[in-house]
Amino acid sequence: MKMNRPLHIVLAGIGCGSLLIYILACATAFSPDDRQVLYPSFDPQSGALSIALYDRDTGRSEQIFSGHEAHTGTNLHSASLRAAWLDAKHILVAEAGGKNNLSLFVLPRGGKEPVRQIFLPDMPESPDALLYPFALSGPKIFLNGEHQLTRVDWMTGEMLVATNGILTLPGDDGQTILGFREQRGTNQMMDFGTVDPQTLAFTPRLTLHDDTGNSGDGTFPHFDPATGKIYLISGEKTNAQLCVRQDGVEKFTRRIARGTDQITVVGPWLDLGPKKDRVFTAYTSQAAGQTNCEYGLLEIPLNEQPLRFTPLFQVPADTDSFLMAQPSLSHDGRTWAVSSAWLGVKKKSALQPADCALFLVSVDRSHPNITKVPITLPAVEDDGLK
Amino acid sequence: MLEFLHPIFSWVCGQNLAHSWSPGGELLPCCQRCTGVYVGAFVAALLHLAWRPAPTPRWLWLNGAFLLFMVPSGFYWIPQNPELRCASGILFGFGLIAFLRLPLAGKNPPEKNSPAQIGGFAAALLVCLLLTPLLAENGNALAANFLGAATAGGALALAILVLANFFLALRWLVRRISRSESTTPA
Repeated sequence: MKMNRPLHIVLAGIGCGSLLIYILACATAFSPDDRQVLYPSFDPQSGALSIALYDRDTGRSEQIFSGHEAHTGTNLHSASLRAAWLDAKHILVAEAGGKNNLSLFVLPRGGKEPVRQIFLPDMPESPDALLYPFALSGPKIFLNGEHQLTRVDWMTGEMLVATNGILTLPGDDGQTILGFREQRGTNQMMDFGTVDPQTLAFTPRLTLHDDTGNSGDGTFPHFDPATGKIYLISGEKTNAQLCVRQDGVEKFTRRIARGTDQITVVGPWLDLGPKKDRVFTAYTSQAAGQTNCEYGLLEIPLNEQPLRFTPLFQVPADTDSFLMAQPSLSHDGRTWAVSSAWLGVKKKSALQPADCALFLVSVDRSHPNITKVPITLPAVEDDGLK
Repeated sequence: MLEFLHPIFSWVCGQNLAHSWSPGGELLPCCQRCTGVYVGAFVAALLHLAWRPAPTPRWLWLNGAFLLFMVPSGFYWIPQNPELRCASGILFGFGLIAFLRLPLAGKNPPEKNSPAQIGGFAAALLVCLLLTPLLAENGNALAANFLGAATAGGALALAILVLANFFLALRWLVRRISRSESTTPA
Protein backbone atom coordinates (compact mmCIF):
# COMPACT_ATOMS: atom_id res chain seq x y z
CA MET A 1 0.00 0.00 0.00
CA LYS A 2 1.32 3.42 -0.93
CA MET A 3 1.82 5.46 2.22
CA ASN A 4 0.60 9.00 2.35
CA ARG A 5 3.06 10.04 5.08
CA PRO A 6 2.37 13.82 5.10
CA LEU A 7 -1.37 13.15 5.47
CA HIS A 8 -0.72 10.72 8.29
CA ILE A 9 1.47 13.26 10.08
CA VAL A 10 -1.22 15.93 9.71
CA LEU A 11 -3.88 13.53 11.02
CA ALA A 12 -1.68 12.56 13.97
CA GLY A 13 -1.24 16.29 14.65
CA ILE A 14 -5.04 16.67 14.57
CA GLY A 15 -5.26 13.77 17.03
CA CYS A 16 -2.75 15.41 19.40
CA GLY A 17 -4.55 18.75 19.10
CA SER A 18 -7.96 17.17 19.73
CA LEU A 19 -6.65 15.43 22.84
CA LEU A 20 -5.12 18.66 24.14
CA ILE A 21 -8.32 20.66 23.50
CA TYR A 22 -10.40 17.94 25.13
CA ILE A 23 -8.23 17.85 28.25
CA LEU A 24 -8.26 21.64 28.55
CA ALA A 25 -12.04 21.73 28.05
CA CYS A 26 -12.75 18.98 30.56
CA ALA A 27 -10.65 20.64 33.20
CA THR A 28 -12.49 23.98 32.78
CA ALA A 29 -15.82 24.37 30.98
CA PHE A 30 -17.12 20.93 31.90
CA SER A 31 -16.92 21.61 35.62
CA PRO A 32 -17.54 25.29 36.21
CA ASP A 33 -18.84 24.79 39.71
CA ASP A 34 -15.43 23.95 41.09
CA ARG A 35 -13.87 27.02 39.52
CA GLN A 36 -16.73 29.40 40.07
CA VAL A 37 -18.45 29.69 43.40
CA LEU A 38 -21.98 30.97 43.99
CA TYR A 39 -22.44 32.64 47.34
CA PRO A 40 -24.85 34.88 49.26
CA SER A 41 -23.73 38.50 49.20
CA PHE A 42 -25.15 42.01 49.32
CA ASP A 43 -25.98 44.10 46.28
CA PRO A 44 -23.48 46.98 46.50
CA GLN A 45 -26.02 49.42 45.01
CA SER A 46 -29.18 48.61 46.96
CA GLY A 47 -27.75 46.71 49.89
CA ALA A 48 -30.25 43.93 49.22
CA LEU A 49 -29.39 40.32 49.81
CA SER A 50 -27.96 38.97 46.57
CA ILE A 51 -26.18 36.09 44.93
CA ALA A 52 -22.67 36.67 43.61
CA LEU A 53 -20.40 34.52 41.48
CA TYR A 54 -16.71 34.32 42.31
CA ASP A 55 -14.33 33.18 39.61
CA ARG A 56 -11.35 31.47 41.23
CA ASP A 57 -9.23 31.75 38.09
CA THR A 58 -9.54 35.51 37.72
CA GLY A 59 -10.18 36.31 41.38
CA ARG A 60 -13.18 38.45 40.42
CA SER A 61 -16.73 38.50 41.71
CA GLU A 62 -19.89 39.56 39.91
CA GLN A 63 -23.39 40.09 41.22
CA ILE A 64 -25.79 37.85 39.32
CA PHE A 65 -29.02 38.19 41.29
CA SER A 66 -30.46 40.71 43.70
CA GLY A 67 -33.29 39.66 46.04
CA HIS A 68 -36.38 41.75 45.37
CA GLU A 69 -38.05 40.95 48.68
CA ALA A 70 -35.29 42.60 50.67
CA HIS A 71 -36.46 45.78 52.39
CA THR A 72 -33.19 47.58 52.70
CA GLY A 73 -34.72 50.79 53.98
CA THR A 74 -35.85 49.12 57.15
CA ASN A 75 -33.16 46.48 57.11
CA LEU A 76 -35.78 43.72 57.10
CA HIS A 77 -34.34 41.26 54.66
CA SER A 78 -37.34 39.00 54.51
CA ALA A 79 -36.07 37.17 51.49
CA SER A 80 -33.86 34.16 51.76
CA LEU A 81 -31.82 33.07 48.80
CA ARG A 82 -30.00 29.93 47.75
CA ALA A 83 -28.21 29.31 44.47
CA ALA A 84 -27.04 26.10 42.81
CA TRP A 85 -25.60 24.95 39.51
CA LEU A 86 -28.18 23.07 37.44
CA ASP A 87 -25.59 22.17 34.82
CA ALA A 88 -22.59 23.79 33.20
CA LYS A 89 -24.70 26.56 31.69
CA HIS A 90 -27.57 27.21 34.08
CA ILE A 91 -27.74 28.58 37.61
CA LEU A 92 -30.76 28.15 39.84
CA VAL A 93 -31.62 30.89 42.31
CA ALA A 94 -34.45 30.17 44.74
CA GLU A 95 -35.97 33.03 46.64
CA ALA A 96 -38.36 32.58 49.55
CA GLY A 97 -40.68 35.55 49.64
CA GLY A 98 -42.52 35.76 52.94
CA LYS A 99 -43.21 32.39 54.50
CA ASN A 100 -45.46 30.63 52.05
CA ASN A 101 -44.21 31.10 48.54
CA LEU A 102 -41.09 30.43 46.60
CA SER A 103 -39.73 31.76 43.32
CA LEU A 104 -37.26 29.84 41.21
CA PHE A 105 -35.12 31.67 38.67
CA VAL A 106 -33.03 29.84 36.10
CA LEU A 107 -30.22 32.10 34.94
CA PRO A 108 -28.41 31.05 31.75
CA ARG A 109 -24.65 31.55 31.67
CA GLY A 110 -23.75 32.70 28.17
CA GLY A 111 -25.88 31.92 25.12
CA LYS A 112 -29.13 33.64 24.24
CA GLU A 113 -31.57 31.89 26.51
CA PRO A 114 -34.09 33.84 28.54
CA VAL A 115 -34.17 33.89 32.33
CA ARG A 116 -36.90 31.49 33.45
CA GLN A 117 -39.05 32.14 36.49
CA ILE A 118 -41.21 29.51 38.16
CA PHE A 119 -43.47 30.74 40.97
CA LEU A 120 -44.70 28.35 43.63
CA PRO A 121 -47.50 30.19 45.45
CA ASP A 122 -48.27 27.41 47.91
CA MET A 123 -45.09 26.44 49.68
CA PRO A 124 -45.72 26.47 53.44
CA GLU A 125 -42.58 27.41 55.39
CA SER A 126 -40.80 28.13 52.12
CA PRO A 127 -37.53 29.29 53.77
CA ASP A 128 -37.10 25.69 54.94
CA ALA A 129 -36.61 24.72 51.29
CA LEU A 130 -33.42 26.76 51.27
CA LEU A 131 -31.74 25.31 54.34
CA TYR A 132 -30.11 22.35 52.61
CA PRO A 133 -28.57 21.89 49.14
CA PHE A 134 -31.09 21.11 46.39
CA ALA A 135 -31.38 17.53 45.24
CA LEU A 136 -31.38 17.47 41.43
CA SER A 137 -32.12 14.79 38.89
CA GLY A 138 -31.70 15.93 35.29
CA PRO A 139 -34.00 18.95 34.89
CA LYS A 140 -35.93 18.10 38.06
CA ILE A 141 -35.44 20.11 41.24
CA PHE A 142 -36.57 18.70 44.61
CA LEU A 143 -37.80 21.26 47.12
CA ASN A 144 -38.36 20.49 50.79
CA GLY A 145 -41.42 22.06 52.37
CA GLU A 146 -43.32 21.61 55.59
CA HIS A 147 -44.52 17.98 55.35
CA GLN A 148 -44.41 18.10 51.58
CA LEU A 149 -41.92 17.46 48.85
CA THR A 150 -42.26 19.38 45.59
CA ARG A 151 -40.58 18.34 42.37
CA VAL A 152 -40.26 20.99 39.66
CA ASP A 153 -39.01 20.48 36.12
CA TRP A 154 -37.17 23.71 35.33
CA MET A 155 -37.41 23.14 31.58
CA THR A 156 -41.14 22.42 31.32
CA GLY A 157 -42.41 23.92 34.60
CA GLU A 158 -44.14 20.60 35.39
CA MET A 159 -44.75 20.18 39.11
CA LEU A 160 -45.44 17.19 41.36
CA VAL A 161 -46.20 17.43 45.08
CA ALA A 162 -45.97 14.53 47.52
CA THR A 163 -47.31 14.99 51.03
CA ASN A 164 -45.32 12.11 52.48
CA GLY A 165 -43.24 14.22 54.85
CA ILE A 166 -40.00 13.38 53.08
CA LEU A 167 -37.00 15.67 53.19
CA THR A 168 -34.51 15.29 50.35
CA LEU A 169 -30.81 15.93 49.99
CA PRO A 170 -28.45 15.24 47.09
CA GLY A 171 -26.47 12.00 47.28
CA ASP A 172 -22.68 11.83 47.12
CA ASP A 173 -22.72 10.52 43.55
CA GLY A 174 -24.68 13.52 42.26
CA GLN A 175 -27.46 11.22 41.03
CA THR A 176 -29.03 9.51 44.01
CA ILE A 177 -31.75 11.44 45.81
CA LEU A 178 -31.50 10.84 49.53
CA GLY A 179 -34.71 10.87 51.56
CA PHE A 180 -35.34 11.31 55.27
CA ARG A 181 -38.56 10.94 57.24
CA GLU A 182 -39.47 11.33 60.87
CA GLN A 183 -41.55 8.37 61.98
CA ARG A 184 -45.12 9.29 62.87
CA GLY A 185 -45.83 9.99 66.50
CA THR A 186 -42.19 10.22 67.45
CA ASN A 187 -39.45 12.68 66.89
CA GLN A 188 -36.81 10.27 68.06
CA MET A 189 -36.89 7.84 65.16
CA MET A 190 -35.94 8.80 61.66
CA ASP A 191 -35.90 6.77 58.47
CA PHE A 192 -33.07 7.30 56.02
CA GLY A 193 -33.32 6.02 52.47
CA THR A 194 -33.59 6.97 48.83
CA VAL A 195 -36.29 8.68 46.79
CA ASP A 196 -37.28 7.57 43.29
CA PRO A 197 -36.89 10.76 41.19
CA GLN A 198 -39.76 9.69 38.91
CA THR A 199 -42.44 8.61 41.38
CA LEU A 200 -41.14 10.32 44.57
CA ALA A 201 -41.57 6.94 46.29
CA PHE A 202 -39.44 6.64 49.42
CA THR A 203 -37.46 3.46 50.09
CA PRO A 204 -36.29 3.39 53.71
CA ARG A 205 -32.89 1.77 54.20
CA LEU A 206 -32.09 2.55 57.81
CA THR A 207 -33.86 3.73 60.94
CA LEU A 208 -31.99 5.93 63.35
CA HIS A 209 -33.05 5.80 66.98
CA ASP A 210 -31.93 9.07 68.41
CA ASP A 211 -30.69 7.68 71.68
CA THR A 212 -27.55 9.72 71.37
CA GLY A 213 -28.61 12.92 73.09
CA ASN A 214 -28.15 16.21 71.34
CA SER A 215 -27.34 15.58 67.67
CA GLY A 216 -24.82 18.30 67.12
CA ASP A 217 -27.07 21.30 67.63
CA GLY A 218 -29.16 20.62 64.51
CA THR A 219 -26.33 19.22 62.40
CA PHE A 220 -27.91 16.88 59.89
CA PRO A 221 -26.35 13.39 59.64
CA HIS A 222 -24.69 12.19 56.47
CA PHE A 223 -26.11 9.00 54.98
CA ASP A 224 -24.37 6.87 52.35
CA PRO A 225 -26.91 4.44 50.81
CA ALA A 226 -24.17 2.55 48.92
CA THR A 227 -22.55 1.35 52.14
CA GLY A 228 -25.46 1.87 54.55
CA LYS A 229 -23.19 4.02 56.74
CA ILE A 230 -24.52 6.96 58.68
CA TYR A 231 -22.28 9.70 60.08
CA LEU A 232 -23.71 11.81 62.90
CA ILE A 233 -22.76 14.12 65.71
CA SER A 234 -23.94 12.79 69.05
CA GLY A 235 -23.48 13.47 72.72
CA GLU A 236 -23.92 16.55 74.85
CA LYS A 237 -22.82 19.99 73.74
CA THR A 238 -19.66 19.91 75.79
CA ASN A 239 -18.95 16.29 74.99
CA ALA A 240 -19.84 15.91 71.32
CA GLN A 241 -18.50 13.10 69.23
CA LEU A 242 -18.61 11.94 65.64
CA CYS A 243 -20.23 8.55 65.28
CA VAL A 244 -20.21 6.26 62.24
CA ARG A 245 -22.78 3.47 62.28
CA GLN A 246 -23.46 0.64 59.89
CA ASP A 247 -26.21 -1.97 60.26
CA GLY A 248 -26.98 -0.62 63.72
CA VAL A 249 -23.40 -1.20 64.87
CA GLU A 250 -21.08 1.61 65.88
CA LYS A 251 -18.07 1.39 63.56
CA PHE A 252 -16.16 4.50 64.55
CA THR A 253 -16.34 7.25 67.15
CA ARG A 254 -14.13 10.13 68.08
CA ARG A 255 -14.55 12.93 70.55
CA ILE A 256 -14.64 16.49 69.26
CA ALA A 257 -12.62 18.64 71.61
CA ARG A 258 -9.87 21.25 71.68
CA GLY A 259 -8.26 21.99 75.00
CA THR A 260 -10.64 23.75 77.36
CA ASP A 261 -12.61 25.52 74.61
CA GLN A 262 -16.30 24.80 74.28
CA ILE A 263 -16.61 23.37 70.79
CA THR A 264 -20.03 23.14 69.13
CA VAL A 265 -20.57 21.51 65.76
CA VAL A 266 -22.98 23.82 63.92
CA GLY A 267 -23.19 22.05 60.57
CA PRO A 268 -25.77 22.53 59.13
CA TRP A 269 -24.76 19.14 57.72
CA LEU A 270 -21.78 16.83 57.42
CA ASP A 271 -19.89 16.63 54.14
CA LEU A 272 -17.63 13.81 53.04
CA GLY A 273 -15.17 14.51 50.26
CA PRO A 274 -14.74 12.11 47.33
CA LYS A 275 -12.01 10.29 49.27
CA LYS A 276 -14.41 9.75 52.19
CA ASP A 277 -11.50 9.92 54.60
CA ARG A 278 -12.78 12.86 56.64
CA VAL A 279 -15.90 14.79 57.58
CA PHE A 280 -16.18 18.50 56.86
CA THR A 281 -18.50 20.72 58.87
CA ALA A 282 -18.61 24.07 60.64
CA TYR A 283 -17.88 24.66 64.30
CA THR A 284 -18.01 27.43 66.86
CA SER A 285 -15.69 27.71 69.77
CA GLN A 286 -16.00 29.90 72.80
CA ALA A 287 -13.05 30.46 75.02
CA ALA A 288 -13.63 31.13 78.74
CA GLY A 289 -14.50 34.77 79.40
CA GLN A 290 -15.14 35.61 75.72
CA THR A 291 -18.45 37.10 74.54
CA ASN A 292 -17.88 36.14 70.92
CA CYS A 293 -17.40 32.75 69.33
CA GLU A 294 -14.93 31.68 66.71
CA TYR A 295 -16.60 30.23 63.60
CA GLY A 296 -14.68 28.05 61.21
CA LEU A 297 -14.18 24.80 59.37
CA LEU A 298 -13.76 21.58 61.30
CA GLU A 299 -12.20 18.58 59.58
CA ILE A 300 -12.71 15.28 61.37
CA PRO A 301 -10.47 12.57 59.90
CA LEU A 302 -11.98 9.08 59.97
CA ASN A 303 -8.77 7.70 61.43
CA GLU A 304 -6.34 8.63 64.17
CA GLN A 305 -5.13 11.87 62.56
CA PRO A 306 -5.81 14.96 64.68
CA LEU A 307 -8.87 17.15 64.22
CA ARG A 308 -8.17 20.27 62.18
CA PHE A 309 -9.79 23.58 63.11
CA THR A 310 -9.57 26.47 60.64
CA PRO A 311 -10.94 29.65 62.29
CA LEU A 312 -12.55 32.08 59.86
CA PHE A 313 -14.51 34.84 61.64
CA GLN A 314 -16.21 35.89 64.87
CA VAL A 315 -19.92 35.49 65.64
CA PRO A 316 -21.86 36.67 68.71
CA ALA A 317 -22.31 33.97 71.33
CA ASP A 318 -26.11 34.19 71.06
CA THR A 319 -26.18 33.40 67.33
CA ASP A 320 -28.86 30.81 66.59
CA SER A 321 -29.12 31.02 62.82
CA PHE A 322 -26.43 28.55 61.79
CA LEU A 323 -28.99 26.62 59.74
CA MET A 324 -29.00 29.56 57.33
CA ALA A 325 -25.28 29.30 56.62
CA GLN A 326 -24.68 27.72 53.23
CA PRO A 327 -21.24 26.13 53.34
CA SER A 328 -20.23 23.85 50.50
CA LEU A 329 -17.46 21.51 49.55
CA SER A 330 -16.17 21.51 45.98
CA HIS A 331 -16.73 18.36 43.92
CA ASP A 332 -13.04 17.50 44.05
CA GLY A 333 -13.08 17.85 47.84
CA ARG A 334 -10.21 20.35 47.81
CA THR A 335 -12.01 23.55 48.75
CA TRP A 336 -14.59 24.34 51.40
CA ALA A 337 -16.45 27.64 51.01
CA VAL A 338 -18.73 29.69 53.22
CA SER A 339 -20.08 33.22 53.00
CA SER A 340 -20.66 35.06 56.27
CA ALA A 341 -23.37 37.24 54.65
CA TRP A 342 -26.11 35.20 56.33
CA LEU A 343 -25.16 36.68 59.71
CA GLY A 344 -25.53 40.24 58.42
CA VAL A 345 -28.93 39.50 56.89
CA LYS A 346 -30.53 39.02 60.27
CA LYS A 347 -28.52 41.54 62.20
CA LYS A 348 -25.84 43.82 60.78
CA SER A 349 -24.15 44.32 64.10
CA ALA A 350 -23.63 40.57 64.38
CA LEU A 351 -20.84 40.91 61.89
CA GLN A 352 -17.72 43.03 61.85
CA PRO A 353 -17.36 44.67 58.41
CA ALA A 354 -13.96 43.01 58.06
CA ASP A 355 -15.55 39.61 58.67
CA CYS A 356 -18.20 40.00 55.96
CA ALA A 357 -16.71 37.91 53.16
CA LEU A 358 -16.68 34.74 51.16
CA PHE A 359 -14.09 32.40 52.67
CA LEU A 360 -12.50 29.70 50.54
CA VAL A 361 -10.41 27.18 52.43
CA SER A 362 -8.01 24.96 50.48
CA VAL A 363 -8.14 21.76 52.47
CA ASP A 364 -5.74 19.71 50.36
CA ARG A 365 -2.68 21.25 52.02
CA SER A 366 -0.92 20.51 55.26
CA HIS A 367 -1.75 24.09 56.33
CA PRO A 368 -5.10 25.23 54.87
CA ASN A 369 -4.84 28.28 52.67
CA ILE A 370 -7.68 30.79 53.15
CA THR A 371 -8.85 33.10 50.36
CA LYS A 372 -11.04 35.92 51.59
CA VAL A 373 -13.30 37.73 49.12
CA PRO A 374 -14.69 40.82 50.89
CA ILE A 375 -18.42 41.61 50.82
CA THR A 376 -19.51 45.16 51.55
CA LEU A 377 -22.00 45.29 54.40
CA PRO A 378 -25.00 47.55 53.54
CA ALA A 379 -24.81 50.93 55.23
CA VAL A 380 -28.00 50.33 57.21
CA GLU A 381 -28.14 50.12 60.99
CA ASP A 382 -30.04 47.39 62.79
CA ASP A 383 -32.84 49.81 63.60
CA GLY A 384 -33.25 50.61 59.92
CA LEU A 385 -31.54 54.00 59.97
CA LYS A 386 -28.87 54.88 57.45
CA MET B 1 -5.46 1.91 43.33
CA LEU B 2 -8.34 4.34 42.71
CA GLU B 3 -7.10 6.55 45.54
CA PHE B 4 -3.72 6.69 43.83
CA LEU B 5 -5.28 7.53 40.43
CA HIS B 6 -7.50 10.39 41.69
CA PRO B 7 -4.78 13.03 42.10
CA ILE B 8 -3.14 11.97 38.83
CA PHE B 9 -6.32 12.32 36.78
CA SER B 10 -7.15 15.63 38.47
CA TRP B 11 -4.55 17.13 36.10
CA VAL B 12 -6.54 16.14 33.03
CA CYS B 13 -10.16 15.90 34.22
CA GLY B 14 -12.52 18.27 36.01
CA GLN B 15 -13.71 15.24 38.09
CA ASN B 16 -17.19 16.72 38.31
CA LEU B 17 -18.85 14.53 40.92
CA ALA B 18 -22.26 15.00 39.33
CA HIS B 19 -20.86 13.44 36.15
CA SER B 20 -18.84 10.65 37.73
CA TRP B 21 -19.66 7.04 38.46
CA SER B 22 -18.94 5.23 41.71
CA PRO B 23 -19.52 1.48 41.20
CA GLY B 24 -19.80 -0.28 44.55
CA GLY B 25 -19.28 3.04 46.30
CA GLU B 26 -15.80 3.48 44.76
CA LEU B 27 -15.51 6.78 42.92
CA LEU B 28 -13.84 6.42 39.53
CA PRO B 29 -10.81 8.67 38.99
CA CYS B 30 -12.43 10.74 36.25
CA CYS B 31 -15.80 11.86 34.92
CA GLN B 32 -18.05 9.70 32.73
CA ARG B 33 -16.80 11.18 29.45
CA CYS B 34 -13.13 10.88 30.42
CA THR B 35 -13.73 7.32 31.62
CA GLY B 36 -15.08 6.64 28.13
CA VAL B 37 -12.10 8.31 26.45
CA TYR B 38 -9.47 6.35 28.37
CA VAL B 39 -11.29 2.99 28.43
CA GLY B 40 -11.93 3.42 24.69
CA ALA B 41 -8.28 4.31 24.09
CA PHE B 42 -7.17 1.27 26.10
CA VAL B 43 -9.36 -1.16 24.14
CA ALA B 44 -8.45 0.48 20.81
CA ALA B 45 -4.72 0.33 21.64
CA LEU B 46 -5.00 -3.41 22.34
CA LEU B 47 -6.87 -3.92 19.07
CA HIS B 48 -4.28 -1.94 17.11
CA LEU B 49 -1.47 -3.94 18.69
CA ALA B 50 -3.15 -7.23 17.83
CA TRP B 51 -4.54 -6.51 14.33
CA ARG B 52 -2.66 -3.51 12.88
CA PRO B 53 -5.57 -2.14 10.81
CA ALA B 54 -4.84 -0.67 7.38
CA PRO B 55 -5.22 3.14 7.27
CA THR B 56 -7.59 3.08 4.28
CA PRO B 57 -9.52 6.30 3.43
CA ARG B 58 -12.74 4.74 4.77
CA TRP B 59 -10.98 3.84 8.01
CA LEU B 60 -9.65 7.39 8.38
CA TRP B 61 -13.04 8.97 7.66
CA LEU B 62 -14.73 6.69 10.18
CA ASN B 63 -12.27 7.54 12.95
CA GLY B 64 -12.40 11.22 11.97
CA ALA B 65 -16.17 11.07 12.50
CA PHE B 66 -15.57 9.48 15.93
CA LEU B 67 -13.37 12.45 16.83
CA LEU B 68 -15.85 14.99 15.46
CA PHE B 69 -18.71 13.51 17.50
CA MET B 70 -17.02 15.03 20.54
CA VAL B 71 -17.88 18.56 19.28
CA PRO B 72 -21.70 18.39 19.66
CA SER B 73 -21.32 16.21 22.77
CA GLY B 74 -18.69 18.29 24.51
CA PHE B 75 -20.54 21.53 23.84
CA TYR B 76 -23.85 19.99 24.98
CA TRP B 77 -25.53 20.75 21.64
CA ILE B 78 -27.33 17.45 22.07
CA PRO B 79 -29.12 16.36 25.26
CA GLN B 80 -27.06 13.82 27.16
CA ASN B 81 -27.22 11.28 29.90
CA PRO B 82 -24.31 9.46 31.57
CA GLU B 83 -24.36 6.66 28.97
CA LEU B 84 -24.15 9.08 26.03
CA ARG B 85 -21.39 11.09 27.70
CA CYS B 86 -19.42 7.86 28.13
CA ALA B 87 -20.19 6.70 24.57
CA SER B 88 -18.92 9.99 23.09
CA GLY B 89 -15.73 9.47 25.09
CA ILE B 90 -15.27 5.88 23.90
CA LEU B 91 -15.64 6.89 20.25
CA PHE B 92 -13.21 9.76 20.82
CA GLY B 93 -10.72 7.33 22.40
CA PHE B 94 -10.97 4.97 19.41
CA GLY B 95 -10.49 7.88 16.98
CA LEU B 96 -7.51 9.23 18.89
CA ILE B 97 -5.64 5.92 18.88
CA ALA B 98 -6.32 5.44 15.16
CA PHE B 99 -4.95 8.92 14.31
CA LEU B 100 -2.02 8.95 16.72
CA ARG B 101 -0.80 5.57 15.47
CA LEU B 102 -0.64 6.64 11.82
CA PRO B 103 2.97 7.95 11.72
CA LEU B 104 4.09 4.86 13.66
CA ALA B 105 2.51 2.39 11.26
CA GLY B 106 5.85 1.67 9.55
CA LYS B 107 6.80 1.91 5.90
CA ASN B 108 4.68 -0.99 4.70
CA PRO B 109 1.36 -0.94 6.47
CA PRO B 110 -1.26 -3.50 5.37
CA GLU B 111 -3.21 -2.47 2.28
CA LYS B 112 -6.72 -3.34 3.32
CA ASN B 113 -8.74 -4.57 6.24
CA SER B 114 -10.21 -8.03 6.10
CA PRO B 115 -13.92 -8.49 6.94
CA ALA B 116 -12.81 -10.39 10.04
CA GLN B 117 -10.73 -7.41 11.18
CA ILE B 118 -13.57 -4.96 10.60
CA GLY B 119 -16.01 -7.28 12.35
CA GLY B 120 -13.63 -7.70 15.27
CA PHE B 121 -13.19 -3.95 15.66
CA ALA B 122 -16.94 -3.31 15.44
CA ALA B 123 -17.68 -6.05 17.97
CA ALA B 124 -15.03 -4.76 20.39
CA LEU B 125 -16.36 -1.21 20.06
CA LEU B 126 -19.91 -2.39 20.68
CA VAL B 127 -18.89 -4.41 23.73
CA CYS B 128 -16.98 -1.41 25.04
CA LEU B 129 -19.99 0.89 24.48
CA LEU B 130 -22.31 -1.50 26.32
CA LEU B 131 -20.05 -2.89 29.01
CA THR B 132 -18.45 0.32 30.31
CA PRO B 133 -21.67 2.04 31.50
CA LEU B 134 -23.11 -1.32 32.57
CA LEU B 135 -20.14 -2.04 34.83
CA ALA B 136 -19.99 1.52 36.07
CA GLU B 137 -23.68 1.68 36.97
CA ASN B 138 -24.24 -1.84 38.28
CA GLY B 139 -20.80 -3.11 39.17
CA ASN B 140 -19.17 -3.59 42.54
CA ALA B 141 -15.80 -2.46 43.88
CA LEU B 142 -14.08 -5.03 41.65
CA ALA B 143 -15.71 -3.44 38.60
CA ALA B 144 -14.52 -0.03 39.82
CA ASN B 145 -10.95 -1.30 40.03
CA PHE B 146 -11.23 -2.93 36.62
CA LEU B 147 -12.50 0.33 35.08
CA GLY B 148 -9.82 2.27 36.97
CA ALA B 149 -7.12 -0.02 35.56
CA ALA B 150 -8.51 0.30 32.02
CA THR B 151 -8.66 4.08 32.45
CA ALA B 152 -5.03 4.17 33.57
CA GLY B 153 -4.06 1.85 30.70
CA GLY B 154 -5.79 4.08 28.16
CA ALA B 155 -4.13 7.20 29.55
CA LEU B 156 -0.76 5.43 29.40
CA ALA B 157 -1.35 4.34 25.79
CA LEU B 158 -2.28 7.88 24.79
CA ALA B 159 0.73 9.33 26.61
CA ILE B 160 3.09 6.87 24.87
CA LEU B 161 1.60 7.65 21.45
CA VAL B 162 1.75 11.42 21.99
CA LEU B 163 5.37 11.18 23.15
CA ALA B 164 6.28 8.92 20.20
CA ASN B 165 4.70 11.39 17.77
CA PHE B 166 6.50 14.24 19.49
CA PHE B 167 9.80 12.37 19.20
CA LEU B 168 9.18 11.68 15.48
CA ALA B 169 8.32 15.33 14.86
CA LEU B 170 11.47 16.41 16.68
CA ARG B 171 13.61 13.96 14.70
CA TRP B 172 12.09 15.17 11.44
CA LEU B 173 12.81 18.78 12.44
CA VAL B 174 16.42 18.08 13.39
CA ARG B 175 17.04 16.21 10.11
CA ARG B 176 15.46 19.01 8.11
CA ILE B 177 17.63 21.64 9.82
CA SER B 178 20.83 19.64 9.41
CA ARG B 179 19.97 18.96 5.74
CA SER B 180 19.35 22.64 5.03
CA GLU B 181 22.63 23.51 6.78
CA SER B 182 24.58 20.97 4.71
CA THR B 183 23.10 22.27 1.43
CA THR B 184 23.69 25.93 2.28
CA PRO B 185 26.69 27.24 0.25
CA ALA B 186 29.59 28.36 2.42
